Amino acid sequence: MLKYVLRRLAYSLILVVLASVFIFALTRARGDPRYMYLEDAYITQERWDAWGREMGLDKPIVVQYLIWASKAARGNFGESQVNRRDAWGLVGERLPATLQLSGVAYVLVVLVSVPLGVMAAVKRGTVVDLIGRTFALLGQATPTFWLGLMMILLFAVYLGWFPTSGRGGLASYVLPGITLASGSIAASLRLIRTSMLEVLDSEYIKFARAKGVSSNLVIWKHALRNSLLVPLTYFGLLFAAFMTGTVVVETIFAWPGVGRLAIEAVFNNDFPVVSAVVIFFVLVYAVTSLMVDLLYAVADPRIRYG
Amino acid sequence: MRLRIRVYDMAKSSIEAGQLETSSLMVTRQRSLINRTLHVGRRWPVLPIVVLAVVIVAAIFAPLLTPHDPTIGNLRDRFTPPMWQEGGTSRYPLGTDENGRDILTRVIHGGRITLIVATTVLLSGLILGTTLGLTAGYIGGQVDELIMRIVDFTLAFPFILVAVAVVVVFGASVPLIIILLVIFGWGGFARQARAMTLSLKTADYVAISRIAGASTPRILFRHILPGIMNTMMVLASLAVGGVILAEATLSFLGVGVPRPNPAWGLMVSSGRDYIRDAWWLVVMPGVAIFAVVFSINFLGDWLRDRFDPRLRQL
Amino acid sequence: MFRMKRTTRGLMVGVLLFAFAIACGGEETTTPTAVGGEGTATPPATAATATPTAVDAEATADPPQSSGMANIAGRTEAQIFRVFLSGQGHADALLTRYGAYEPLLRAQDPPRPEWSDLGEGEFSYSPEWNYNFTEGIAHSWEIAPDQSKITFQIREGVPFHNDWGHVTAEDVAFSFNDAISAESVFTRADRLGEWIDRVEAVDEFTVDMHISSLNATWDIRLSNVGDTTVPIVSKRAFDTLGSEEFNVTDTGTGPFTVRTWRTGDEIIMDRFADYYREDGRAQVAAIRYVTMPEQNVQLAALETGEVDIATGASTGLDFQLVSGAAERSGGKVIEFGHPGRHEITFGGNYWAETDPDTGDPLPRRPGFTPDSDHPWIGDPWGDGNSMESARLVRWAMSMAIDRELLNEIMFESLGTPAYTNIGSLPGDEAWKDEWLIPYDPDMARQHLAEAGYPDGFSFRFYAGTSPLAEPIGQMWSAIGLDITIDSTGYEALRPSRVEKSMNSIYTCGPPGEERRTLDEAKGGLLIPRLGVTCSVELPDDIWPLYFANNDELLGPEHREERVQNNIKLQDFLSNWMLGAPVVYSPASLYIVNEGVEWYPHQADFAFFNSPETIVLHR
Repeated sequence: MLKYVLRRLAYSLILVVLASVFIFALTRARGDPRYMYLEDAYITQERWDAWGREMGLDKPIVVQYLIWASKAARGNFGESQVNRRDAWGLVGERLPATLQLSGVAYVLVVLVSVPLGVMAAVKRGTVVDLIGRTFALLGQATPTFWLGLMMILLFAVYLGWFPTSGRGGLASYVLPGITLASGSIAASLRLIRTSMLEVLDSEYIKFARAKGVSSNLVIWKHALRNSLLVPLTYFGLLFAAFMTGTVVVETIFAWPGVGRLAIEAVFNNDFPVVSAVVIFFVLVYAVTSLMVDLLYAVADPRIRYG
Repeated sequence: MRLRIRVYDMAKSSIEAGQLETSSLMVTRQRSLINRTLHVGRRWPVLPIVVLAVVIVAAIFAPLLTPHDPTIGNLRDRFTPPMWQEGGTSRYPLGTDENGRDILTRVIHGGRITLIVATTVLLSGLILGTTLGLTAGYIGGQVDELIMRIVDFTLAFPFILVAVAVVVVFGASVPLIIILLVIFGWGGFARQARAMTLSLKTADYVAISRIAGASTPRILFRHILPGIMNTMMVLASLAVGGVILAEATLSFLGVGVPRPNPAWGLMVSSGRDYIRDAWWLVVMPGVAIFAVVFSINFLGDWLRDRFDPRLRQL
Repeated sequence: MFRMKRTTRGLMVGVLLFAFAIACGGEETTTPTAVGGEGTATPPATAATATPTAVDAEATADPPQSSGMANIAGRTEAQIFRVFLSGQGHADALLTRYGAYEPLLRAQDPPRPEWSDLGEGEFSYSPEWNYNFTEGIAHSWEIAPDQSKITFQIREGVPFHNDWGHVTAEDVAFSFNDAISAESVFTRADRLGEWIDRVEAVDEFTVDMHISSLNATWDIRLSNVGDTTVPIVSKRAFDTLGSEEFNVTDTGTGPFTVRTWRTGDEIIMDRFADYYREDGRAQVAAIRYVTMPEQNVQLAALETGEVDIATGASTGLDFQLVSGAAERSGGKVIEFGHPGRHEITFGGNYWAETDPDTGDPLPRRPGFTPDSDHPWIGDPWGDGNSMESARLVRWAMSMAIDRELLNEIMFESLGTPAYTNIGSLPGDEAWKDEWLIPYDPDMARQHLAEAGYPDGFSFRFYAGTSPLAEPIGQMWSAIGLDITIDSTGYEALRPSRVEKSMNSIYTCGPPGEERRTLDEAKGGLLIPRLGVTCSVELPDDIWPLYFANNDELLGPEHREERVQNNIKLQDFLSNWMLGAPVVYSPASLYIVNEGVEWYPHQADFAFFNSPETIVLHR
C-alpha cells in the first residue's frame, strides 16, 4: 500500500511537470509577451529591448522555461503583467471567494442529490421517483449561464429577494451557489439513483430484507453506503470541477474569484497569472484525484494494487 | 418469481461463463425487449422520441424547410416578436433576433451544428475512452500507467481555461471545438471503464473464460465490455447534454462556434444582453437546447432500464 | 461491509471540509489587500453591500457635502497605482479618472449643460469641451520662446493622500520622469517621450519641462481630459516604500482616497476632505467601483438600484438596449466623448518601403500575402493586375455596406454615416463628392466578378466586440461572400498587429485621430513603425504627409497646408479604399440611475471621470 501511495505521488508530480510544459508552450504560442504591453501605436527600439532584457526574453526558449519552472517550483510565478502584483499571491487573494462559492455549491449538491437520489431509487416508479428524475433531467438540460441569467432576472430584478451579483452577505451566495451546483446536483442524483438501484437489487440486500431488517435501516445504512462507491469518484472530482467551473458563474455574478482571474488573464495573455492559475488548478486536481484513488483503494477491496 | 430468475441467471453465468456467447444473450434480451414493448407500448417515451426525430429530420432537411437565410436578415425587422405576440407576424413565427434574422430558421439550422458536434464528440470520446479504459484496466502494468497518466493529464486541465487559451491562439472554428471536446472528454469514460474493469476482471466468469483460454480481446469485448456497457450508457447519456452545454458555454465566453453560425449556445449568448427587451432571443434557442438535452437524457434512462438485465425486473 | 463505512465517512469529511472552507473564507476577507497608506482599516467584505455608517458620520461632520456611497459598475477596473508599471488597458486613464489621482493640468468644470429630452424617457447630456487648464496642480506656465521648455508654476499646499505631505516640484519631476523612463511600460510613455525629454525641478514650486517639439494639443494631453495624462504622485512615498509597496499605495492628490482595493472585485474610495480645490470636493461621502463583466447584469443591478451608474454601456452596447434600460430604471443616458468612427481595415496591404525612423529599407512584412486567399491585398511590386483587382474587391466590400441603414437602425439615427478616414463629412470645407461611397450591392457584385471572384470568397472578419460585426457581416453575405466572424478581442490580435503579420479584414481603431478637426495629423496608425498599427502601411510618397503635419507644419500659420495634406491623404485612401469608414456612432453612453446626478467632463476616449460631481438624492 505504501508503495502504491508513493508511486501515486510520483504520478501527480509528473502530471504537474507535464502541465507546466504544456502551459508554458501554449502561452508562448500567443507570441512575444511584450506585445501585450503595447497599447500605443508607437514604441522605440530601446524601450522594446529594455523590456526584453527585463523579462529574460533574450535567452533561448528552453532556458526561459527552466528559469521559469525553477522559480515556479518555489511559488514564484512572477508578477502579473496587468497589475504588477505577485501572480501566486493574486491566486491566494482570490481563492477564498472561490472556495466559499464551491463550498456552498458542494454542500448543496450533497444535501439535495443524496436524499433525492436514494428516495428516487427506493420509491422507484412512484411520484417521488418522477419528481427526482424530472429534477435531474431539468437540471442537466439547462445551460449554467442561462440559468444564472434567468435567476438574476427572476429573483433579483422581479422579486428582489437576492442581490443581482457581487460577493457580500449570505444572500449573495444563494444565486451563484445554486447556479454552480445545478448541473452537478442533477448528475450526482442520477448516479446515486442508478448505483442505489443496483445495490438494492443485490443479493445481500434482498437477504437482509428477507431476514426482516427494517426497511429504513437497509436503505440508509447498508444500501446507501455501498451505492456511494461509484459516485465517490464523481464526488471527489466534483471539487476540482467546481474550482474550474466557476469561470462562467463568477463572470455572470461578478464574483471576485480565481475563475474570473483566470479567464481575464487568458484573454490578456497575462502569462504569470495564467500559469499560476492553471498550475494551481492542476495541483487541486492532482491532490483530489490522489485522495479519491486512495479512498477507492480503501473502500473497494476488490481492486488490486500490484 | 423474481428471485428465481435471478438465481437462474447467476447459475448460468457461473456455470457456463466459459462458453457463454454474449451475442446470444443480447439476442434474448432484445427479443424480450420487443415482447415487452408490445405489451407495454404505452410506456414508450413517445415525446422524447418525437422531439429528437423532429430535430434530426429538421436538421437534415433544413434548407428545404426554412424560407429565410439563417445568416442574412433584414435589419429593419430586428426584434420582431413571435407571431402570437402583439407586433408579431407569420413571416417570422418565432420572431427575429438583433440582426433581423428569423429565429425559427436559425434554430432549425442550429440543430445541424449541435447534432454534428454532439455526435462526433460523443462517438469519438466513447470509443476512445472505453477502449483505452478497458485495455488499461485489464492489462494493467505499464500500459495501465501510461494510459492513466494521459487521462490524468487531460482531466487535470481546467477545460474551459485551456479551451479558451487554445482558441485564442488558433481562432474559433467548429473542428477545433470538436477536437477540444474530444481531447478533454474521453478521459472520463476511460477512467470509469477502467475502474469497472478492475472490479469485473476478478469476477468468476471472466476468470473461468481466461482459464478456458479465451484471448484477451475476446475477454475484453465479449465478457467485460457488456458488463460495463450499462454504466457507460448512463455516462454517455450524461455526457451528451454535457457536450452540448460545453459548446454553448464556450460560445458564451466568445470562443465557441464562430458567428454568424446559428449555433444554439451562440444564439443564447448573443441574445443575452437583450433579455429584458426581447426575451425570445434567449428563450427560443434555450428551449431548443433544453428540449434536445432533456429528450436525450430521458431516452438514455429509458434505454438503460430496458437493456439492463438486472434492473429490468424491478 | 465494514470497509464501506469509510466511503461514507470520506464523503462526510469532504462536506465538513467545505463547510470549514466557508467559515475560514469569512475570516480570509479581512486579510489586507491593496490598501492605501498605513492606518487604513480594511472593513470586512460584508460592508460592500451595506452603507458604511462610519462614512456617513464622517460626511455629516462636513455639512456642505451630501452623504452616501455611490456605486459605479464597470466591466474592468483600474489595476495599478504606479504609472510606470501600467502597461495594460487604459489603466493610466482609470487612475486619474477614478478620482484618486490628479494630473498636472486640470480643466475647469464646464458650465453644466441642460439635459435634452430625446423622448421615450431618454435623455442626452453633452457637456462642452473646456480648455481652460488653470485649476490643476500647475496654475500657470510659460513656454520658452525657442520652444525648448515649458516652465510650470506649481500650486502651493496641494496635499497628498495619507499624509505624504504637499506637492512640490520634485514630485512633479519624479512623476513624469518615472512614467517616461526607458524601462517604463506606461501605455503612453512613447507618445509622451516623443516630445518630452525630461522634467526638472527648478525650485520648490517651479519645474522645467524640457521638450523636443510642441504639439498644438499638448495641454490637453497633460490634463485630466487628455489621453496621455500623467498623475502626480509623491516622490517621498516612492523613496520610502519602494516600488512594490508604492504600487499598492494611494499617494495621489485627487478628490477621493482609496479605502480598500480588491483587484477584480471592488475599489472603495472615501471623500478626501483636504482636496485642494475647495469647490471641487466630492459631493458623496464615498464611492464604490464594482467590477461586473456582464453587461446585462450591470443593467439588472441598475434596475434594482444596486448600482447608481453603469459604465458597461460605453463599448459595444446596443442603443436600443441602453434606452430600454434607462427607461426601466427611470434613469438617464449620459453621452459624452468624441463620436467614434467605426471603420473596417483591409489588413495586409503593407506598401511602405522605407522606415521613417531610420531611413533604412523595410523588409517585406510577414502579413504581406497578396494571394487568392487574401483577395483584398494588392501587390504594388508584382504584376499590374493585383493592385487593381484588390482595389475592386475592397471597393465592392465597402459599397456593400448600407451606412444609412446602420446609422438609422443600430444608432437610432444619432450617428452619422462616415465616408472618409480624415473625418471630413459631406458639406465640410474639405469635402469632395468623389469620396462618397454609394450603397450599391449590384455594383459590388460586378466589382467582385471583374476582380475574378464572381462566386465570392471566404474570410475571417475580426470584429472584436463591435456591435456592427453581424450587421455588416450579413451585408457582405448578401453579395455572396462567405464570412466567419471572429470575436477574439483586441488583446489577442495585438501580437499580430505589432509583428505586422496581421493580414485580415478587421475593425481597427480609426487611422486618423478621433477628433474631427481637419488640420491635425491624420493616418498615424498607417505609418510603418514599431508598434501597434492598423496592418496597412502607406507607400513612401504618402506617409510623409503625416510627419509633415505632425512635426513640421505646426502652428496656426500652417493650418491650410495641413488641411491640404489631409486632403491628399484622403484622395489616396478613397481611391485605394484601404480602410472602409462606416459610421460615426454617438459617443460613449453611461446610464445614470434615477435620483443620481453626475456631470462628467468631455474627455478623450470618453472615460469615466469626475466622480466628485456625483450627487445622490435618496
